[in-house]
Amino acid sequence: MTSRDNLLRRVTIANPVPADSDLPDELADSRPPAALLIDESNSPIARPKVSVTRKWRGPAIAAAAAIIVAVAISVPLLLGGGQDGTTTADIALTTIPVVATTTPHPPATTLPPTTVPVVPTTALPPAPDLMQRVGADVMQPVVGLFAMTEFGSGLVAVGFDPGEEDLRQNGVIFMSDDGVTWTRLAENDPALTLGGVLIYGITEGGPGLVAVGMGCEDDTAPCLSHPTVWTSVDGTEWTRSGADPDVFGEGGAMLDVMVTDHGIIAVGSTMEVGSDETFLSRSAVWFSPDGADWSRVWDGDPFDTEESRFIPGIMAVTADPAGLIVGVGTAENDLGEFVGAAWVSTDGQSWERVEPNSSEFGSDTGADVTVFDVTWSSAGFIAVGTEDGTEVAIWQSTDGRSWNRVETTEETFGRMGTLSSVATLESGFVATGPHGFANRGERPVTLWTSPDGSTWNRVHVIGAGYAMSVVATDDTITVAGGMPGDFNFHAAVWAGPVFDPGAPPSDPLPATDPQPPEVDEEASTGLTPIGTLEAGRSCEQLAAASYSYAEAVSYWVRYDRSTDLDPDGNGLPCEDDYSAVDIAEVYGGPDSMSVHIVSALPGDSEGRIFENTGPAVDAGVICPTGTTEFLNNNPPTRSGALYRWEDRFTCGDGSGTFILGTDVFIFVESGGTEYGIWNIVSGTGAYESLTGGGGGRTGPGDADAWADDLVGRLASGTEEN
Amino acid sequence: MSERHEFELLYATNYDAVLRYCLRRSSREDALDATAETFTVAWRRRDDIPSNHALPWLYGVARRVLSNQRRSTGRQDRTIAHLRVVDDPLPEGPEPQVVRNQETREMVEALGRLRAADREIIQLAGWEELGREEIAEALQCTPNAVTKRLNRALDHLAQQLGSIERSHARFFRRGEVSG
Repeated sequence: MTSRDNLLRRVTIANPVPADSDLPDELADSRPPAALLIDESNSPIARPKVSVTRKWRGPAIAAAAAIIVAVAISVPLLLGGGQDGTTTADIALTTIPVVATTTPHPPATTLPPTTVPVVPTTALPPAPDLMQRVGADVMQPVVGLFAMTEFGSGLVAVGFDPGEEDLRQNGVIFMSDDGVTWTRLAENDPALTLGGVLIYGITEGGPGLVAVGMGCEDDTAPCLSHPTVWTSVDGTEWTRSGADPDVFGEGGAMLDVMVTDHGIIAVGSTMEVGSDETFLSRSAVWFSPDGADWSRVWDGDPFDTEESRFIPGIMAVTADPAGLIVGVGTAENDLGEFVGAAWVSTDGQSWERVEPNSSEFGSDTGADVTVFDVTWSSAGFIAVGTEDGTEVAIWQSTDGRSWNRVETTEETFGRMGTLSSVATLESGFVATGPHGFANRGERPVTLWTSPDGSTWNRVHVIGAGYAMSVVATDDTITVAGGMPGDFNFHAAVWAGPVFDPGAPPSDPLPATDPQPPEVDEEASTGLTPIGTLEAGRSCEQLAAASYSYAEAVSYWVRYDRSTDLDPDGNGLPCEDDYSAVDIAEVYGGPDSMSVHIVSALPGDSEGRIFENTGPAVDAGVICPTGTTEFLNNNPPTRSGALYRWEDRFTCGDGSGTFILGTDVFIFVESGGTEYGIWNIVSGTGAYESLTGGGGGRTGPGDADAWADDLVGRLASGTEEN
Repeated sequence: MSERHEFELLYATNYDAVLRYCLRRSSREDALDATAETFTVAWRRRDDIPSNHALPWLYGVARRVLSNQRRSTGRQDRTIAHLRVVDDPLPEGPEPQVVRNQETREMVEALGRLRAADREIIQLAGWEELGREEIAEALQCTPNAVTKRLNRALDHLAQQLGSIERSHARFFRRGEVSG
């Protein structure tokens, strides 16, 4: 009997209503006569309704509260963090149209690491002659870019910055006349800074420019953001509209916008309160003749959302010269899985989802599928996206109605995971990825071209970061996205010459390129779990094999905090092989101070006692001693972690309490010792603003009592400290 | 035999099984509603019912009915908490009962952590005890897809179960849970 068989047997044992059990009398007696169910006329209207009492469980106020909670919990999700596992569902979740009410983390600092082996950036050969980063001088403070469009003879890119003063994101506009020199416009425009703003799409049209996304107008309280439109004559001043819920919806987002022969069309999804604990999502299309007056012209069928799982709906739109408008995005099948979806319209007003049951948009294994972008050329429509966040996906259609999945070989696409954008060349297509929300900066921004949509060539690897939009003009390809910075992601634009899809540059990553031999062998069959990795790996090997920094720290702790991995002995292992963003995600910012926390259960004690030592204690950031109590166990918050628990620390000097959570990455059966990373969850009194984290082990202590031994860094979170 | 009589036979034969299916996934009230709705749909679509897989087909209908029910009422799938609707006399002594109940709680918790699609296919195999082809009929997919999805779902379940078991074991070791 296999382990799966055994597992299934355990499931059967846990059956709450076994097949051979007797039903309670009240249930057995409640069986209606079959005749009552039979509607001889076959009319669904005439059929009798057999109903037991049904209650509405939540008043509207509870529903409103749920919205606010969703806003809070969606902050990390919006930017991709906080959840383990990078599936397509996560990617779809990351596009939840909710504006954060706290300072957003950049994608790189919050995204869950994937366990899929990826091409190590250290192995990439430089190719500076093809694509160059441009506009870095003005883009440095901006976290990321979402979209880009041609405007006149130049380009306009839109993104966001974290809004550090009011803790809400601000919309950001960059413009360039030549694609090389970029200028930030409308930096303090209230239309882009009031409440929260995330601009997802932009097009030339209407009065000049039309941008779409989501926003909420309340500057002080958590609020549900809703689809929003911004218009401008030249990008310097913007007008915002979206406050009318009848038109724009209670919640949701516009994700793309385009000008058609009929007018301006925006696509996305709306979200409304379905009950006390659920939301109702629908694909939606808006129409405007001029960019100023908008109406919602189409609502899709409601998605059967589960709890806070939202579906972005139509994510991108394009049209062919004959006027057929095609939208692509994500829907849900009967099994609750995300599947790709396409919609068509001939007038922009009425829409039809095509091939809703097509296996081409699904997954053989039931994995979630998302379509991010679509374009058209004489070769037909091409859509790009991902399956499960781990495999790139391309679809092709000659008529917009019938779609086929294009074969994507690992040789050409590696394990990129996502394609985020595709554009039309004079003959053929250019695509880029990875999508910003599914990448920690580990998978390099890459370009592929195709002469016909079915055969693809990898033509350039740009470097670490993510890509959200590619625009092709007659002589230039421009990519907008972001790249890792010191403690944040920075908006980035790269520009280079158009490649001839019929004679592409040579693949920059031939299979024979040098790879770290040991880890590459593992990568071909899947990453060895960090818990079974033997001692002796170097930081370089861990990073090249795509172990996350949290895993590297756990590995370092497990092997006695080896100085081989921390040569300078400062308590931060592998500093040279992981980005500052990764390190800050575990240890906190540069102002944090070292601490050593030992929490144990002495034999003569009724409770656990902790003792803190180190500079953080000397500086008064944290108290020296107190008591510890176990609070709860939860699913892990980090990808790859096995489980998590949280303890409350109560300082003996009455200065306050703090809650410390630990994600366990390694569990060693012999001795029952655990290794992982910890972080400060919250605090009271003097520790309300305490932040920090590090690595630690839990296992038998000196007196045969269970002891936590934690090292890391803490910061008070206040300016005076 | 008339269509009506055939349907009444189908109803009499399968009502309890469909009700059990619904009870495993919803409250008693909802289960009764959903079971009645399932057979109402079955009557309307009686020509579609496969003679050799009628029960899996009914399960498939019941699944959609429950899904619609949740959508219309906004209720979440709290069924996982509806344990022991029917008393299940345990033959073991007290100690095995404790162990078994603990294992059941862990299994239920692990199932609750799964995606709906993974949970459903595992339940069809483990609770309804359907075979591969029967599950394919209930989910309207191919038997090969059932094999792939079930294996994948069981792997996910094993991960969740391992996490829960290790976590629980830790509490006992630390002496912080008195039981």
